[in-house]
Amino acid sequence: MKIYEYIVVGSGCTGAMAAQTLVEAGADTLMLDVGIVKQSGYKIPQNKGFLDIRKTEKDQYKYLIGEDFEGVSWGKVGKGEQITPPRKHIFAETNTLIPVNSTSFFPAESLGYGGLGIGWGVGCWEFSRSEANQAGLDHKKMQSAYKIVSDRIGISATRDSAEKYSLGSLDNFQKSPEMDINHTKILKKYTTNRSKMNELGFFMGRAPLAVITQSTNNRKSYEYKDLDFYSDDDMSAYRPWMTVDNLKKYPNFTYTGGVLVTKFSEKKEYTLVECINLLDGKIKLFRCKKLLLASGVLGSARIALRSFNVPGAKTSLLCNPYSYIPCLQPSMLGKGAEEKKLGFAQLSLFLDKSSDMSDISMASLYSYQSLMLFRLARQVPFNFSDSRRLFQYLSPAIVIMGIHQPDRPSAGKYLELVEDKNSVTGDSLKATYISTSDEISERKKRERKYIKIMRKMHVYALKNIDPGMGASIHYAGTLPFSDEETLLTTRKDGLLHGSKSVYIADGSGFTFLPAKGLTFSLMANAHNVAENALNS
Amino acid sequence: MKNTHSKEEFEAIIFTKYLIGERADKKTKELYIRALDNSPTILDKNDTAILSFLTKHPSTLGFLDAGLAVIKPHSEVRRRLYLIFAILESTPLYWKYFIPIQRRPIYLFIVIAVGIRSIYRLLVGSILVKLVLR
Repeated sequence: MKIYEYIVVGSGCTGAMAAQTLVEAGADTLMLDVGIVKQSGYKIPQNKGFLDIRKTEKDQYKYLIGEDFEGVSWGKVGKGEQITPPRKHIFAETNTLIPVNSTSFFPAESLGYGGLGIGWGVGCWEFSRSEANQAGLDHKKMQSAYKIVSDRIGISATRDSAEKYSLGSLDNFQKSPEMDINHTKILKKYTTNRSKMNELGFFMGRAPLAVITQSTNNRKSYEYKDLDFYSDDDMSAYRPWMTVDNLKKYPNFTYTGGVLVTKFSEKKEYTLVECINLLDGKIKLFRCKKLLLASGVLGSARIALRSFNVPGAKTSLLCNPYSYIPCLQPSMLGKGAEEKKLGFAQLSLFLDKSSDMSDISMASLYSYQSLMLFRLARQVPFNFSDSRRLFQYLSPAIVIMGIHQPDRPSAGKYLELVEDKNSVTGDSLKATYISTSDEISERKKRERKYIKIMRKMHVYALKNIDPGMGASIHYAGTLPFSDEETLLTTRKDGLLHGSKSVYIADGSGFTFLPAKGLTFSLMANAHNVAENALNS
Repeated sequence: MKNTHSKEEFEAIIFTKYLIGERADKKTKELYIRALDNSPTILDKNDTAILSFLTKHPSTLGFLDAGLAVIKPHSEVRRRLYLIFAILESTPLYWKYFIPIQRRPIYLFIVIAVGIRSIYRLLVGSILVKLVLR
């Protein structure tokens, strides 16, 4: 059996970045992945925008609500509400292959080709020095890595009043895409009252996005088709599968899909990686000198817990509390739909509570158009007929404010691996996430502040929706960084304590989870961990 | 379309009329039936009573929907309405009922009237739902 120099587990944002670093350094690398791909053969017309499709395409329902109506979810609002049928494979098979039992935490994981990156909102915010330090990361190394990742994935951004919160030292980016009228008005109001807003601790600016506004060799510049929730056809927005597809051209890279990595064991000469071959359900083994786990923080926790097999072991858990607030900007009432529109977050609003960048919460502002009225109508206690008329009129004035808040470890947040005879792996992850009353009251206080500041900009909150813990899809801290050689913790360079050759390339090590979307930082950290593995 | 689906076809017709004031086209009816076949549910006693009442009295649909929205928001009747809402919204024939159109400021009064009607439907509907479920 061949011994690979490196095995990377997972094809998501972190796996893709770690693998690229290894492969470009010339290392013989194998990527192991479940790698579920899109099933539907139905393709969105490439030359049309969202409104054009809505008015003309006979079979639009196939991708707007799904051939099997899988895009029309009913019941309580929960995680992944914005995931449309063309991206539904993001969550495929997770309930069967990687089950989670919980009454307090409802995470989203992915076994898709590209992992959670399939549905990533492409926001790229840098961690500040204080945030990086609290998370256990070396800020200087992170800054270099941010630049490398930015070159790889392509970022558009703007230097503005919030740049110290969003961009840090990043300088290799393209100009931001144009905002729609809704957000242009909000930014104008903020700019007029900027000093007052800043005094209250609020800073607003353009959201840095992994979207290119100038075409490159194989990626087209962003075309404002408003199909961001449905299609990656022009490749203007970065997705990790693009990196993996590209790596497949290298002779020192091998991709093996259809396998679920379950555990590892370290031998004298190599590390043995055990998988379930999903085609026949049989065990499949791979060997490597060094193993990089990039299977998402819950996935890496599962693998580590199984591999170390410590009865009753618990790992910590971090998750950004998240709520979203549909707001109304009355000056937009009666406007028609905009043909050209940016579907991603357009503005970021930071609340720097202590003015020292150590305790920042962040809201992302989105317009509402391509996710259609039926999703809105489900969330209000009105009859559907009147809801349709009201939302048709109101939707151009609607701004969705998604508030992310930071998270720190506490006793009530943890994971355990429990026996589960119905599961393919014979176990399932039991998750507990109980916030303290102080945490809850602090979150509510922040949410009220956001609602108040939006009011000052003449944007009024309609409803505060809590989709439940886990809905942010931002998780970390399951194998936290530690200077002590404690089992189920990670060394600062990414090496898993208790192992000689297993590195953690995802966010499992973070000891603090800043409110800013963490994907950009996860990718930067994955690059650093891969470099550490190469240099060790 | 099989004859066994005549009930569902009738639902598609009255739901479409209620939601957008139009007669459902053939494809909408087919998609609605397929959507129900894809996610079959066992109707409980209350859902059966409401469905049977509204098929006999389609004009009460607005009140029943409004009443259910607060009394039993996840009821099967609401799920079916929601399904056809999504189907209609993704049918090019009906785009003008869903895509925002530039409106004159005076249209705000119509919207306010719709809002008031919505509250009226809710008040009457809450009582009606309770009466039907008695």
